[in-house]
Amino acid sequence: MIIESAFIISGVLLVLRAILGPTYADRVISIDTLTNIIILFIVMYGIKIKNPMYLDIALLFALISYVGIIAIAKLVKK
Amino acid sequence: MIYEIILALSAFFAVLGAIGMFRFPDFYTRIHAATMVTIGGACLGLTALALSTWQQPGYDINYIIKVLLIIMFILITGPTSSHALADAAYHTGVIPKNLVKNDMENKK
Repeated sequence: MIIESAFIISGVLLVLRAILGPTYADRVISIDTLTNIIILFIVMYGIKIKNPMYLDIALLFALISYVGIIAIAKLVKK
Repeated sequence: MIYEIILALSAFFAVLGAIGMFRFPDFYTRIHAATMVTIGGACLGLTALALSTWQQPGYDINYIIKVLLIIMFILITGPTSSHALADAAYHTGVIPKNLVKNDMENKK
């Protein structure tokens, strides 16, 4: 209970930084970090209800997030 | 149990990194805090979750293998995306706060 609350507080702070962030890079890096917290929650839920399919969803989520960050970095630099 | 201690440690690191993400002055110092949330929060927490299924009734080895795969993927892609984003931010004019000397200004 306390541990999940701590992760949720961390996510809320990251969302605040994504809203307030002065440059685009602050927003992108904070969404990238928030993705990892969400992956942790997906894995936690999948282990809690004993369904290993959620772990595949978490892996796919990590992959799509990585591709998105690299695409933004390439697109902006051009 | 050992995994609860590791999970509490990862929650501590996640909150610490998020506070750093909120309070650090510019983008290049916020990458530090973001890496702290990624490695200290997510990877350590996933390690604890993998340990929590070890030889428990109802769980098999697939859970540990898949969670270790996710940890490997995050460990490879976290530094890569941070580095690419820092490079793109420098080349699009995001400068550090309180900059005294720029060693990169003559390089492309």
